[in-house]
Amino acid sequence: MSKDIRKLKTYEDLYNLGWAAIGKLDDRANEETDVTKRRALRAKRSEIRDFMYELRNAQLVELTTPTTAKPAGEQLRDAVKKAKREMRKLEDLATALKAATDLLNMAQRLVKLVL
Amino acid sequence: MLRHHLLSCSVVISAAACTAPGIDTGLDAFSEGLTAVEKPLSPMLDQRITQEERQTRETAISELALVYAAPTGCETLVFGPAEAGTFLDKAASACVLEPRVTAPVTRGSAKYAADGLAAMSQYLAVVQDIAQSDVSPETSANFSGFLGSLNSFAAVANAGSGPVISDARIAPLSSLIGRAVEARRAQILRRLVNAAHPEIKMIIAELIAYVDQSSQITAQAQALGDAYERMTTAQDNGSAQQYRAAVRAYEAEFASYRTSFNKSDTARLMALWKAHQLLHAQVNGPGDPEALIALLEDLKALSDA
Repeated sequence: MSKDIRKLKTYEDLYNLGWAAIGKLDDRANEETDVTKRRALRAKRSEIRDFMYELRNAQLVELTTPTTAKPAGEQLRDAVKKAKREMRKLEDLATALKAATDLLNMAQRLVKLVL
Repeated sequence: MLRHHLLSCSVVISAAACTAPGIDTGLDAFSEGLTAVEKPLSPMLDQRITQEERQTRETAISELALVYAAPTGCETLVFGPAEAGTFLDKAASACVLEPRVTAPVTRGSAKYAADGLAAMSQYLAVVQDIAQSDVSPETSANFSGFLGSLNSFAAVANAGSGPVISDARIAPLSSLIGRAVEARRAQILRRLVNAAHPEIKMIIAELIAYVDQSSQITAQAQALGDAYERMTTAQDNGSAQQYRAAVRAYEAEFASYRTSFNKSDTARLMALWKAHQLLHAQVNGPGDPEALIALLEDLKALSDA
């Protein structure tokens, strides 16, 4: 797995934590009847939300910046090539097995003729 | 009657599959009757429900109650692909204008009437599914095929060794070869899907970032969230008039965002990611090829005994 994918995971973890916290603050604010407390909860929510967008914008820049890591597209093509090779081997195996079955069938017919 | 039906299923499991009792005529009549009721009634009910909802919302606004839930589903949609089951993945599955206050479902209201009608529709769909299901025949056929193979192998295993190769020994062999090849093919597919999963995620994340440069969909999502925050600030400020104006502004921002998002490449890329998540879950789900191969190995051992 490339270095970039690990970074992707880090961002994803932070987004998960941040948006879950925003959801919790939402719920808490919606239950709050005291306007001063509700304002404070919403201000905290707003702060975390701003940070989420800061993070996302940084990631968008990173994801469009040239990198030395092996491109994901290339890695995907490697995986496809490997699967194709395996499929060809399997086709060979299937052909061999089919031939063996045909031989067995022929042997059976011969045996029936002889006996 | 039911007992008799079940009995007949179990007796003839290797032959034709069991079927549900014939209820087609009654079902068709009920379905036609429901369509005749729904056609004129549904549009009228929809219109009245909209009126009821508007009235309820207006009352809530004048009481300074929060009328919409936060647009978290819409905002998280622009935060890129996430793994199945995570908060981000679940939150990003829907972008809807979610009301916090809704018209009560009380007898005599349009909502109550529509609820009854919807329940009948759902009931009809389920009854039709059960009546027309072909799962049972397929399952029976597969099971009987499986039993047939087992019996053949058992027969070969008990037959002792002889010079003649019996029919019973050859026929299941060819089907076994077919199944082994199928299982191997499924295994290759699974390996490919699993190997591709992180790369697909990365490519989708990069493509979303690339198209965002021109679509600015992230900035639009942020603007939607900002409109929501202005609405809650107006609610906290205590003026019903300002709050009402902020609600209208939020509704307009929401409609605009949803239109832009649905037309965006980001929406299509996220849909593609959801499709791959499904494929990934399916190839790793029950009935996995390795279990099938293990079963085939057992059968082979039995035939070699």
